Amino acid sequence: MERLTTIGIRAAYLLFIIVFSFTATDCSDKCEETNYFVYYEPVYATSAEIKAAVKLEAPKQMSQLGRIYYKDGYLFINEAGEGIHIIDNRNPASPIQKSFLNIPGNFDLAIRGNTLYADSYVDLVAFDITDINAVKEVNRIERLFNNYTALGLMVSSDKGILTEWKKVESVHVQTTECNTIYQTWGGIFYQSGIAMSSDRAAFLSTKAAIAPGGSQTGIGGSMARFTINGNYLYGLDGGNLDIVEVTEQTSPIARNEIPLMWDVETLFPYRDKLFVGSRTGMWILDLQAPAQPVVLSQYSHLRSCDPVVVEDNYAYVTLRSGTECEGFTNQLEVIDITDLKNPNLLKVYPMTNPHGLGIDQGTLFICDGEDGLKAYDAKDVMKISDNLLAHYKNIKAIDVIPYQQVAMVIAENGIYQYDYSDIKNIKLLSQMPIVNH
Amino acid sequence: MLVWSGDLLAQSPVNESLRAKKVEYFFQIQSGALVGCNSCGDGKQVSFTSSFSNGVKIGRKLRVGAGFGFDSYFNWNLLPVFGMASWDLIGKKNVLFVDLSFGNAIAGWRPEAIDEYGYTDSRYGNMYGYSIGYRIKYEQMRIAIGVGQKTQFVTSYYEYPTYYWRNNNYVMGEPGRKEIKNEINRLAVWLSIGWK
Repeated sequence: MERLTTIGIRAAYLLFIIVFSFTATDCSDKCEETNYFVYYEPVYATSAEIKAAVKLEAPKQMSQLGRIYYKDGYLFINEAGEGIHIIDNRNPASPIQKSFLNIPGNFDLAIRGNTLYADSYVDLVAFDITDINAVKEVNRIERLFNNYTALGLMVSSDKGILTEWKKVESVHVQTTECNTIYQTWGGIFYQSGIAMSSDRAAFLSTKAAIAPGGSQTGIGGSMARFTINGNYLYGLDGGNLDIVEVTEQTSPIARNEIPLMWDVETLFPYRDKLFVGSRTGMWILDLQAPAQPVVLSQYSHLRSCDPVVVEDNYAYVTLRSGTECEGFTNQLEVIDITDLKNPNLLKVYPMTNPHGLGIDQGTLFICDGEDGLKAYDAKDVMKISDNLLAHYKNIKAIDVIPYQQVAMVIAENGIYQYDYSDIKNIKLLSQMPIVNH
Repeated sequence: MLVWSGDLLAQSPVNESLRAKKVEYFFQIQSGALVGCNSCGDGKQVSFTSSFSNGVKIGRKLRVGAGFGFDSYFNWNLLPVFGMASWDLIGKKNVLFVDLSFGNAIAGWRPEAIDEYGYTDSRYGNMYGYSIGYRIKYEQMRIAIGVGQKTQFVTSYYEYPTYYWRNNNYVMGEPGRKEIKNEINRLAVWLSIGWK
């Protein structure tokens, strides 16, 4: 009897502990999720604040150069997003920085007569440069570039003008259901900003982020997004072409806006035609009716960045690869445009990583990235590679404007000017340093 | 003083306190099921657990030892090493006992079928468990059944592509990062067989 009691007590004890174990045991998982990211919030300014900042200032250090324009002995060089350096270049061997025209949100420019046209975020601003020492704003077309986006957000909105991205670092910790997957991809959050990893954020240039599409260093030549032909200014606005009449120089009038292609990048006028470089090809527009351009043809190529210049019956297009350009092609293409409605690829020359290019009376300059600046005699378009005139390997050339025997070159570390009056003896005239941040 | 076998003591005129300090080697092989849920809305999951442990029996009630095992948690298969201790509660021949274990997963892998977006790596952490069991003695052999709790920590790392908008295109940046610390709790039901 005693033994049975002992067994009963043990069995009850065991049963109790088993039941307790089942009920007390938490057999579901717990998860704590930690996300690391940097959040960029858009900062908006009013139009009045932006206008108030436009003024002529003392010369300042050049650092992140954009477009370059040459007019009557003066160089006008864009400081990306900030304004324009004005340089007295009447003696190319000894250029002198005269002043800095502060224009918030400026990335491009063009000049007709004594009027300089520049973008300021979404506005087109006209400046009177008759007196180079007293440049002043004379007119403005507000919100002309209404397709302008930055990191996916419209620059112009009800909130004002998007001028800056404010960095907010964040680590987010939360307890989650273990089967819930939160994806911290740094996609675009259109209403509130953009999230990205801390690593990525370290390399984000908020200045570049606010630049309009296709913005790299350019010239009033092969990589420009503004250009003037006759009495009309043509500007790329997203995938559209804005057409502004500048017959009355100080009173620009927006005349038309026509859709082209989302990936258009550069404009190059030649005679009464406009050559538009896009990542997938080259468009040729007829400007006989300047406010109503007509697409004559489109020449397609591999996906790549492709500035274009034209001389006589040939268009010269450089294709380059790279993060932004996506493609894998680095070459110079010569296209026969004798029949503008049927452009025909004539010859392809391999290059290293060609950026901007320029041509003047058969002398072709190519900025070949890490491989420097190359000058060719291109009179025989079928033998360009056989006629290398000069090769400057020590500069990372980005764009060039050859004009009146002087080639003005923007490179990563400065502005170089070369005298090519004797094409067999091209000489360096001067160098202006750039402070790279 | 360590005495390898109880036979020597059995032939000696020892008192009860000396018998209590007798130390004997033991080992056991354990196998069972882990019951719990990662996604509890989908119901309980049952996975496999096994281990081999060995150590010493100190006196009549205490066992301490160390071992290694294999635990499956569906998303991870782990190889823990651990130390353990058990204490006999009731009984002399057949006993009711509790045991504790604490260790660390020294290696692990994910089943190939698990293809989770962004997953890059896992770091396998500590484990601990406690259970209650009933051990039956048959000469030198011991057979036991038990039930308890096992907790394992695993941290998983994820990377997701980051894009930013530039020049009318999404450009890929450095990936965003995420880590999830998993505390995996399971009810463990097991059967063991061993020596001593």
